Amino acid sequence: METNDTKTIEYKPRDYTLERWIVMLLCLLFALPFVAQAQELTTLDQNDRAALLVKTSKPGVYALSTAVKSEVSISVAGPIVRTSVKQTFHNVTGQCVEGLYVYPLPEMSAVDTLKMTIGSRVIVGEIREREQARKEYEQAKSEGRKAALVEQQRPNVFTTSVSGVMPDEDVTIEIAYQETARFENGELRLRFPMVVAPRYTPAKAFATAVMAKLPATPASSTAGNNVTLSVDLQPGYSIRNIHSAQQVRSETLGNRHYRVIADSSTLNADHDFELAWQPDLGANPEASVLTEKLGEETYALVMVTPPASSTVRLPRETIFIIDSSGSMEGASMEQAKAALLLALDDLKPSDTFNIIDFDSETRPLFNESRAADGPSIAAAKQFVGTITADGGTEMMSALRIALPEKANTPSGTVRQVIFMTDGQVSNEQELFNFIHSRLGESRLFTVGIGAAPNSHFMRNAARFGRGTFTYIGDVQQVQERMSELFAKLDAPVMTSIEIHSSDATAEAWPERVPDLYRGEPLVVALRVRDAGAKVTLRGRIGSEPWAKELTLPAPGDSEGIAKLWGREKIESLMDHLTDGSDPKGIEAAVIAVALQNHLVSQYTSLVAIDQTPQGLNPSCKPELLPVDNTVVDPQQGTLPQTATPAALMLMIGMSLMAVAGIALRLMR
Amino acid sequence: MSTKLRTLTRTLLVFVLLAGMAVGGEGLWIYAKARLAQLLLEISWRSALAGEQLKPWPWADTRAIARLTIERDGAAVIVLDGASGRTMAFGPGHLDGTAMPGDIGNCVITAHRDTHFAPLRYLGPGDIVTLQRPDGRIVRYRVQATRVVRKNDTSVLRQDARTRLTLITCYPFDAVKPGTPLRWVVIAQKVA
Repeated sequence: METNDTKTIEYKPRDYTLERWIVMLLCLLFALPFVAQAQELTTLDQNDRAALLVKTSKPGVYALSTAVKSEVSISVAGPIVRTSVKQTFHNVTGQCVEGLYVYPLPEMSAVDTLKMTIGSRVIVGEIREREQARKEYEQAKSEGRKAALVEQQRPNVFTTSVSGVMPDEDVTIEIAYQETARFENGELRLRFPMVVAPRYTPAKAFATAVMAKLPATPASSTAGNNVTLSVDLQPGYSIRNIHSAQQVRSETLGNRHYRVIADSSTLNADHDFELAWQPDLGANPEASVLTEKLGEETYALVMVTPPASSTVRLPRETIFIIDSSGSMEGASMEQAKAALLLALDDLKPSDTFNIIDFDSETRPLFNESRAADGPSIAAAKQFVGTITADGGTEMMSALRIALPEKANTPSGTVRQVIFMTDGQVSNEQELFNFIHSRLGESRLFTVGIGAAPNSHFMRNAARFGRGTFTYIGDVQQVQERMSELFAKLDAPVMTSIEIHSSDATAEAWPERVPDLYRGEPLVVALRVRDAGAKVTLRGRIGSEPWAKELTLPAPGDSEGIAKLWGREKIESLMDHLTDGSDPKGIEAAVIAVALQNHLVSQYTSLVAIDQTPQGLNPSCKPELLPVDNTVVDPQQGTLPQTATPAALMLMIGMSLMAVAGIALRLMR
Repeated sequence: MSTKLRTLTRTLLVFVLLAGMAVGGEGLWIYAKARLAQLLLEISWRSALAGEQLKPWPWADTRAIARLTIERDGAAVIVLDGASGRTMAFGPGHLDGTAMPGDIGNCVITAHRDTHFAPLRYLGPGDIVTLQRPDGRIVRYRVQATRVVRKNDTSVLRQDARTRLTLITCYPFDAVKPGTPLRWVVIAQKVA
């Protein structure tokens, strides 16, 4: 860069040698530290914002470039939230570069759509088998063409390689992903992490630094601050009270159709954008349906909303299973015990309950469930106090007691099994089969405890048990998470729900429909061949039967329903990887669904390649941005701790013995 | 020096001696446990190969899932389910959520650098590591690279459609203190 400045000065018409040297010296003095500091360097692990990372000469180290413009549009159909993020970057490096677009995603979502605009060319992504995608990308790159590749790298970070970006060109990247709105305290809630807006001040941003280096580029002082956000809300039922902690404008567009907008003039980049809405509930359960047509198939989203207030509180039998095996030792055991004590306080005297403590052996509190009266609760609390973490994990015998062949539960009573464990088991499949065959009218709710519970086991155990999985990460969350779970368990409105279609080829997810709880809409995704098919829902309210017949409406413009169905299907296919099914067969089945429903999965990637002949640009051989040897120090450890203190202990021990031995001898 | 002070110093020194023996003994116990457990696990592993796995010891809360052999020196260890500190005291642990031995994806096994994975320092590209599965099948992997990474570099755990084996242990091997920020990673690819 010094040479650059020198040149600029040399072209001046008059020759003031002394001034020239002073100016040059000043330039060097000021510009050097400025660039060194301003070139924001990062690694893939360290970067937590949406950004275009430009490859540098140091492997693994990237120069950070933030977007000059970001547009976020979110569309909501039922509980499905589809987010489309469109970001524009400007190549100010003066070189032909290769970059990585990095986007941190909310948990449990996957990018399925990609559109790139480089200069004047538009490139749209296709889903391909993973290896195929990688090959096509490499080939395009070697030919100097523009290409992008999206792969599932880590669960929550998506990276898109962007090659062949010419100096001064604009790159616009549009990605879309899908997730499900969270239900909390009677409201549906969506969250958009404000990762699109940079936290850095413009003066420090890499883009500005390079702009200062290349005076020909028009510098924009508002680089990175331009964010707009809009939400198109079609929940499928009437709603009331749309609200957000951020400043937004909302309007009603039509019947059950709303819009919310905000932009960077009011959005706070340091807080996530959250939007919440409440279903406007009637006196009875109501069912509604939205559809989408994709290819030959019709995908339907069936929703059941509960009544505003449930008429009767059904008596309950609650069985708590608590895992006290050795792996629970420490904080996990304490959390589980705290959660159990909270649960005992929540019981009503009309309820019955029992506790089963297991490790290598199974230890029930009572032989049979007892009324939750004063003496029983006192006995239970004393019992909880005696639980210590030790021994193996013999889960099966505990489940045998909790799910007996013939439950002695009077009809009209709700039977709920709450299972607190870290899920460190080896016979998963056997346990799933057992839960599946013995469940009957009981419901199984899993509560994951500890830093790294086996959530695969617990999510699926809850699915087979027609219940839910609650994860408690640390002690502070016990009270909050458990209260949420109990509030829900308190009020099942409709049970034994089944879904039938006049189309025999219909496939519904989840396969086993969970119960309907107060305040929380229930959702089932369905695929049918016959667009005119009828869908029948059956269930029981207390002991009263309930049924509703639905006719599929004309397809709407939602893109989310087929994807929701596809992701549920893929997830259940992937679950078979652990039960000894042929991995090749699963791979083929997953690829088929992923290609059909346009989804990125373990075996498929999204690839976008410029096919136009003008796209060929052999002169663009990506260069690496030079950097000095700045140390980029990553944070947070995640790989296991793999050394014992044995050597250290031996050394300390021997030194102590030696010192004492010598001193004792000298004292003789 | 008065007799009283002498006696006091003497008692103190005896305590220091005892403390030294206790600490040193605990250190030795860590090594002994790592060795002894492997003997018991070997028996349990044979029962697994015969069809029904016996518990290595009655209170075990993990189980043997594979037998790992480094072909060059013939050293073999039994790999356990789960990579918690508790498990790794007895044998290398298979990291939950990563591919099982021989399955598509990345199978990650970790162990202590000063016990079961001490031989990793001598592994290099081309070496063969085999994993025997409970069904008796033996899967061969060829070492492609060894790397030193920071402990937060989870990219080595990445899952994809290739069948790989990743062995992780602490680095440097000769460090006395546990808890270094570096990890030694051996990356091997399944031999067709």
